[in-house]
Amino acid sequence: MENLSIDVLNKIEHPSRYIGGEFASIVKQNVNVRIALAFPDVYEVGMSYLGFKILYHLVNKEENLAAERVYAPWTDMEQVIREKDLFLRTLETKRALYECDFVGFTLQYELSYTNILNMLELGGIPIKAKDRNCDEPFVIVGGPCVFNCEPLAEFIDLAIIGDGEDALIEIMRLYENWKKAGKIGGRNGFLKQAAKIKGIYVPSYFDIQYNEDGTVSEVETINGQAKTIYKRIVSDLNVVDFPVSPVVPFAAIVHDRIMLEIFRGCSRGCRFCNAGMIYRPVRERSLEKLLELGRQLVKNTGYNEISLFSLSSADYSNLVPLVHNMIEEFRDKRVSVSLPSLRIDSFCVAVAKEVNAVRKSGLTFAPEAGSQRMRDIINKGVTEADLLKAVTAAFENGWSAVKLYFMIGLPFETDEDILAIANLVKSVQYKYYEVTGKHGCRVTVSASAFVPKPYTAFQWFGQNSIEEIQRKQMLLKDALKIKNVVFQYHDAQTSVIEALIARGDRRIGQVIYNAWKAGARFDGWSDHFSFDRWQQAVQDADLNMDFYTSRQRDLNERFPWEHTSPGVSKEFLLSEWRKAQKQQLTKDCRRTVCKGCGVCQMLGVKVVDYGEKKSENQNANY
Amino acid sequence: MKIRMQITKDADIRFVSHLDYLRAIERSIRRAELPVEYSSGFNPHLKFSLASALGVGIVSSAEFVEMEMAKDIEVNIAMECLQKALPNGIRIIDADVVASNEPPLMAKAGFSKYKVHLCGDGDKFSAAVNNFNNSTKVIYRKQVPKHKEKFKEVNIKDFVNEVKCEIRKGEIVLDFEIQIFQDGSLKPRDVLNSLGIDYTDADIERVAMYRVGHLPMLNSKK
Ligand code: SF4
Repeated sequence: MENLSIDVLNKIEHPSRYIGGEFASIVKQNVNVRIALAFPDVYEVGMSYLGFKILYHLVNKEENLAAERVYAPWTDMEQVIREKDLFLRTLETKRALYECDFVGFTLQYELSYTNILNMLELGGIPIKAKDRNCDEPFVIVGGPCVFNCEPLAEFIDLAIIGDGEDALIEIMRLYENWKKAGKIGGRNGFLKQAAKIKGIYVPSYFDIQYNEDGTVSEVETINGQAKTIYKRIVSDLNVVDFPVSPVVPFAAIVHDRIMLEIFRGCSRGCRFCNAGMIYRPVRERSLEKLLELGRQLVKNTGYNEISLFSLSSADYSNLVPLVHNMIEEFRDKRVSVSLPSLRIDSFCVAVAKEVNAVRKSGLTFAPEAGSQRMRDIINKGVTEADLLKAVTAAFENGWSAVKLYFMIGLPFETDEDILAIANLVKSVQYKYYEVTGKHGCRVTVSASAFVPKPYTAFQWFGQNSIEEIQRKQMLLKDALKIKNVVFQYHDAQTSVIEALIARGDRRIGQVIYNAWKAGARFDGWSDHFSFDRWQQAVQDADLNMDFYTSRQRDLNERFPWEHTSPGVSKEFLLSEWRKAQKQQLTKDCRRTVCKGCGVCQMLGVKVVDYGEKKSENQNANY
Repeated sequence: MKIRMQITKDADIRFVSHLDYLRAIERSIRRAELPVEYSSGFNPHLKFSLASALGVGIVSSAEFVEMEMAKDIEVNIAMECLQKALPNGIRIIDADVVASNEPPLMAKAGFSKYKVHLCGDGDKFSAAVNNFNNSTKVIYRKQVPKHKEKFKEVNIKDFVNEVKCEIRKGEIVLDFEIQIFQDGSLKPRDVLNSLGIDYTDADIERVAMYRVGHLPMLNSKK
């Protein structure tokens, strides 16, 4: 297979992005089925994604199957590929994407979709599924945004809804047989069988009809397809393989450390949060299992930091023994332990102090909203007192800087709620003065603009207009003209395009196509994003931006994403939407009782949490 | 004790940066569980160093790494363990052991020897090389490290005495040694530049490194 020449690599930035050959990368030349795991962003971002580490390891463990990696080429490399008529190739066997059997994209972020189209083209694959022939790859997608992959329906052949561990191997084995049997029935012959696998969605088997007002009226299926595809789910994480020998890159990547997934799912039930709904229920790995995995990972990778990874790591039932044991065990090897996210309480600060990897960067808390009213609306479940207690603990332990995350543009938000953020910041600074007797507590306030997402309680909400978000940003900016406070906020336009795609239907595919044709790449990188280009793309597709973004959805509306389901019922989400308006809370089901979201019953799984077990059996080892 | 090894940076990983190459060695040492000393302080790191930085894109069969050991270890065993833990593209060629109080390898390096393969007009190259060899002074504006806009004038001939040039069918092979002084040295690309050669497609390899007086870097264990 062809390698890139010296002169090409000499001329581009970060050439090691394109060479492969990293420690523990796996090159399999002769196999029956090959998938290119394609991440639609640069190497440093893509290499940090845990999902692909898991799938890479699982597929390559299988005889006659191979998984390779490919990342979005940066603009300088794209230019070389186009000028010299090259192809985008995998890092392992350096095959052009069109030479693989599958190209599997992960959908992490709506603004990376233009990169998907670009990678298909650079890889020599027809952009639209209907134009691909029998010798061309199947384009398959997965990842968190897959629960509404309608905007990509035209470009993909199939999708894995939910956990990919088992489904991907099944799909590849199915392909192996289909290929061996002479590709009977052509592409459709394969897709028909694939559609029978649980959790596999074939968009071309669904026909979507629209009402005159633009909303979805009916969804018909062909080939005897089920009308709703429910997600695949791994019921016990202790029995699925977790990669203990991941690829160790040469280049410094975004998360350049061991990522050990301690549990999947989060049921705190924040009403804005998509991840909290689609990954339900919580499934923990056991303490023993995690210690064993940690040991092997430290030995096999040579990393000096281990990150205990999950949606909300401080919620792990045995966090203290886990952290203690790891610190003790790896002391000689100078391996530090870190937590990617903190809960707002003093317990968490105590743990943070112990892992002390966060010391340099300062502590981060996410109250999400400034007023209690607003925090109740979003079901955040923390009070100002909680936050003040947590920062008190932090200040007592020597921290003098904190970072606070908020959202603006939330449902039912008033200007008072925005201004409450500034008051909260002042209370935090005053707390520092109370604890230390000194002024000068540095607070970094980061406020993102809220993007309503499918499968959340706020999926009905009409997003604030750009002008409204900007007005609120200015209001807050003004209120935060306080000494030692830094205010960071994102461009409102990006959030609107994110919202356009997040709740988009199949017609948004044309918008993505138009934007890509007009040069959209790396839209998640602010210096590459052009709002005008997207606006034009919407106009050229004869669509109305507001219909997708700022329109408040009717309670009876059928959403475009309803046929690809994480198992959470619409009734539950609707009741959460109603409770939000009444500022009523819904507690976490994890260590209390079922709140009736429907996932466990629908999918036949249950919460796996070692917290309760511990109290029933006080004499356990840990 | 200190263990020193001659290692390679093979063609497959030539585009790995110097910093990334160092980190790859560090992680390999950790994977091999070699008893290398840690520095003290809040952010402990392994005590090892490389004799001389290599530019991105350059292949080498003469990198020298020196490790301060916390415990004595048989050099053959250390080689074997480390080789298993290294990524493809880094091979151990030789090793030796010296006392901890020996001056660092870095201070000993006197010359780097390079071989360059190029394509192009052979006559033009040999003329340029002849001209270089016959001059006593070849002034070159060298970029000051970390200052994009700053340049300093150096006489290349202080560093490179002679460039050997061999022209084979459609291929030009250059050979030269660059002297390393206490206060610095030159990059092979500086030499190519001063010869008026566009190096973007040049295949450059560091083939050897010597101490002053052309003595070998290691006291070979063989
Ligand atoms: S079904 Fe009940 S227990 Fe299961 S995740 Fe939903 S609320 Fe929690």
